[in-house]
Amino acid sequence: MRKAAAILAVLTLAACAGGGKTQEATTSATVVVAAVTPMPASADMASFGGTNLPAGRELSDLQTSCQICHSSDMWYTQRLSKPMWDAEVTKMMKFGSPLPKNDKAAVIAYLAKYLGPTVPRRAAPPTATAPPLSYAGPPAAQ
Amino acid sequence: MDSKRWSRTGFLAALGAGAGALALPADAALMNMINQRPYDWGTPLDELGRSLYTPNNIFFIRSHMGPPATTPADTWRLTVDGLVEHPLHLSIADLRAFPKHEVPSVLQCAGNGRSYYGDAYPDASHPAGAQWRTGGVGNARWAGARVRDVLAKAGVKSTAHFSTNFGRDNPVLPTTPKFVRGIELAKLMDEDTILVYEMNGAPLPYYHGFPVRLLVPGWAADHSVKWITNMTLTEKITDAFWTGVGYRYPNNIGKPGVGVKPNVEHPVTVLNVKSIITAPATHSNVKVGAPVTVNGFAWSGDGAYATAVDVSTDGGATWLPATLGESPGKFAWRTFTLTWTPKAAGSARIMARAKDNRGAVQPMKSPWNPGGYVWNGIHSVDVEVSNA
Repeated sequence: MRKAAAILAVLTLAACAGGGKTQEATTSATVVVAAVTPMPASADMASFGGTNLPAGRELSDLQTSCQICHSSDMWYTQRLSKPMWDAEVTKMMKFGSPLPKNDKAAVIAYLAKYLGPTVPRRAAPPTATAPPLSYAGPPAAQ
Repeated sequence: MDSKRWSRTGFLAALGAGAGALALPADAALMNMINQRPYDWGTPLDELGRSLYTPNNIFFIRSHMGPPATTPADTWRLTVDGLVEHPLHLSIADLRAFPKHEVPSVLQCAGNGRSYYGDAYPDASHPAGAQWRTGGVGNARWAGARVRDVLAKAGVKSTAHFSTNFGRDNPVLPTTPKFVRGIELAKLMDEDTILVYEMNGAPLPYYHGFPVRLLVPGWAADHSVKWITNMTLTEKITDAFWTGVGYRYPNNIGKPGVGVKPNVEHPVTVLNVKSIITAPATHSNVKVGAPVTVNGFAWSGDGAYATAVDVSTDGGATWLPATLGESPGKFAWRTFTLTWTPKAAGSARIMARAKDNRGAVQPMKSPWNPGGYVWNGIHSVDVEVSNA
């Protein structure tokens, strides 16, 4: 959504450039383009991530300690148990994440709570009458 | 799916004057973004389905770390050293002097399909990693020098059993392990393992490893090191992170959701039998009595190839054999097609189940493993059938 709004802003500014203040509008448009990561969100991404994480110290820790190397979808798209989050956060700190040691346990607990295996992905809308896919057994033999 | 993708012209218009400076690695508007940064971009099914060979501009991109700084082709060197008689420092011209060999081959991320483990084992921890669905795979004509020819020039010592290969993936932080991959010498000596400089007849694009990458066909793509600059022959396999800890598969399959220590795992190597349905698109609408063409691709790994694909249009209750297209080569995928005329309105689940020449058949779900690797569960597409 944010990306859509930003790109819309660029288009609006570009459209306005035809008027009197061409120089300013062009400069503003260029600045906005440079500031926007020009990559559209994919349908897959929308269906996997999209969890609204509660604000607080844990979220600020994630935003400041994790986005140095990778974008937030790297964690938004996971659904890990607490031990698995622990293993991942530990690995990330070995990789160089500056997450403060004192905050580690709280961040792991937060991730396990809001991005654990029982938290649903935002699924693509199902078809009207499709039954859930069954992984129970082998398909019927030919 | 289509409604979420920007039209190509609309997207380029939005970039405007900044386009030249932004240098996106692919036709971004056409791809599915798995992770925004570092680039993990998948190819949508309908794009894959357009051609037997996946065009370079929409071929999936997987990045652990960012791409390295630009390497001018004339300064690039491949160093071959370690347990060899004569270490080599090869330029592109040197590499091109070896006989050029073209290998049509699937390239598939080890983690392609990882997200399906979450669907198949919903109560267990989903495997961690980039949550690929079907987009982390492509098929291309790869051309370059045979590794065996290069190694013959270096003279491999009898004590050498592995190579430690280094790719210039560029981590943001110096403490992040570099992309170091160990591989059995025997696989490198295979006649189709090549040092690639051309992809689908064009110079290897930058985000696909320019100027040279390795291609290890039939094995997961982590072996096919991009931006390769070093091959060091060793007696034992390296224990550097991306081999010793990363990309490993349990020796024994355990309980879903439970981590496994690297020392009771082995490197992921061979791909497995697999297929994808590229048409019809999921959630598309079809009509009773109007024929629907079910299309897709099938392949296998480790030098095996798909020999049959069965298709179901009733959620797996019954299966019919699809018609297979010619195989471009054992490492490449081949097409399959089946025409289906829907008989009743409602939801219909189309499934494809491939079999290879060694008798392996796709399962409904692959065994859960902590890395979420080598998913080859049967792919399904749900469509809505309405009355004519």
